[in-house]
Amino acid sequence: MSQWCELDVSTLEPCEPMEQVLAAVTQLKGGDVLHVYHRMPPTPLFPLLQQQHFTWHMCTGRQHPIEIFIWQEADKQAAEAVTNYLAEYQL
Amino acid sequence: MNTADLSLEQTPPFSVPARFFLTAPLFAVGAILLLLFMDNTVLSTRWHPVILGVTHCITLGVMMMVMMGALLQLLPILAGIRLPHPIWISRVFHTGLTVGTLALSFAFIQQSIFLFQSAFILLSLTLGGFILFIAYQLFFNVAVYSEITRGMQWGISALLITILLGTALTYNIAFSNIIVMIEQVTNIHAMWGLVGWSSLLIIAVAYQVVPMFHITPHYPAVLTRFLVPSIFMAVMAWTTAVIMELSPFIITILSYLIVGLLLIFSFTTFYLHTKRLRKVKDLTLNFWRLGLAGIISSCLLWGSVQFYTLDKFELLLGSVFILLGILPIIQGMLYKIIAFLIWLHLQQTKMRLAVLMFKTPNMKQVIQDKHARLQFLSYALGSISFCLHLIYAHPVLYWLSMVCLISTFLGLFFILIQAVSVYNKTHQSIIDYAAQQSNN
Repeated sequence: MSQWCELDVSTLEPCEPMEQVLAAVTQLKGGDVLHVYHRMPPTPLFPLLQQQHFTWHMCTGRQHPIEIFIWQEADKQAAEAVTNYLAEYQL
Repeated sequence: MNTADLSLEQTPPFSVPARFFLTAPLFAVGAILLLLFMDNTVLSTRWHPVILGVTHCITLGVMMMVMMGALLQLLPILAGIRLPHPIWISRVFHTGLTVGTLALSFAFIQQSIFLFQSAFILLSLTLGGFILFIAYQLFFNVAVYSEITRGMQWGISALLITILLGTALTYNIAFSNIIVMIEQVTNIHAMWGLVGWSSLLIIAVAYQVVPMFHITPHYPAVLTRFLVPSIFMAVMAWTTAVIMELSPFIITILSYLIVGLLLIFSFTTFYLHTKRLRKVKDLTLNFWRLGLAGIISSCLLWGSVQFYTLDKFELLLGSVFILLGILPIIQGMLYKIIAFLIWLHLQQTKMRLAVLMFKTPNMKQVIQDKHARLQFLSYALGSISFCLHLIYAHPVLYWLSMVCLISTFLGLFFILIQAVSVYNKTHQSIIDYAAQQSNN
């Protein structure tokens, strides 16, 4: 059963946001999406995600400055869920 | 938004910035020892050879040293720039800047033509090479554009002007007299170095590090877009007015414009610090508050000189701006940047060796708060008493400032050594753990 997990790191000081995101992505299974709320683009996070074979999409958020969606590389079900979410909320 | 072209391999090794960060406090200690060994009367004017030597020891040996190391490390992380041969490049720049700064400082103190000639060759090659290298990366090689990279572009342009003027002044002493208006050109050189290069780089980096590390709202968009170019243009207009010997009224108006722009940055940052989203204890805030107060004080001093003339005023103005303004902010940034880089490099090592479960120290464990607090107190006491000594010329203030400033920079050096040692030990432990895991 795929899951949509939300994680708000927008008020945490470095390096807690990256630590929490990196811990959370290890729990992701096929079809799962990690939806992260952040206050700024976490540029150093992306190479680490890439190294671990995750795909991400970052966009300007509705209630938080930045929203990031992370899922396993080549996971079509999760990618479709993110596309639908982005279309629904016009992000 | 996607930043797929970033990769772990393009982050330079930790040794690249570390060599610069560890050298900077030693130059500061050297500068204070130079003051101590010289006669107390050197503090009478900024034109005294010892003061010129000490000033360059601080501006090149401390400020430029930290900024060079930070740029070589942060550009790949923040702007997605891929630096070619980072270890080799950093060794060349570090050696050139270290030897060149020593040559220039002692050239001033000993008034040695040979040392001036050596400094001219070493610094023009090192700093010229550094500017060309960074400017090429910043203008043609940026993968992730932001206000910080645009701010750095203005900052590096200001550095280019500073270095061109500094090189011309050094050539003037070392080889032949080519400059007529020495005093004006020196003032313009100092203006571009302090208000142009240092302030612009600090402002550009503040756009990133203040919201990131102090958990504040972002700087207003209008400010991040226009402040840095406005300061650059204002300094350019001031320079033109000085060179063309326009009326003192116009130069005064332009000076007030620069002061006003620096005040906007200082008060905005103070305001953002009051709006922190999560008010956790953070020692580096004290460095920032001292630095912002120092910039505001120097702006007020600069404004008041239009009406009053004080003995040693220029030396006081420069000391307040550098000692109370720029240096505390650099130290505040240094603590955060070095702790973050150590944490980030350890994470990358864990990823590379696929040992994610290995426990590594977080940022607060890399630098001990109690040591950093003592270092801050010593710095604040030393720098304030030094500036007060320039006004009151009291021996107690003089000795207090010398003792505190030497202690604070030695303290900073040992704190940074300790942080690097935490990195080295943990890095080795990760490698041992990974080897053990693969054997099992």
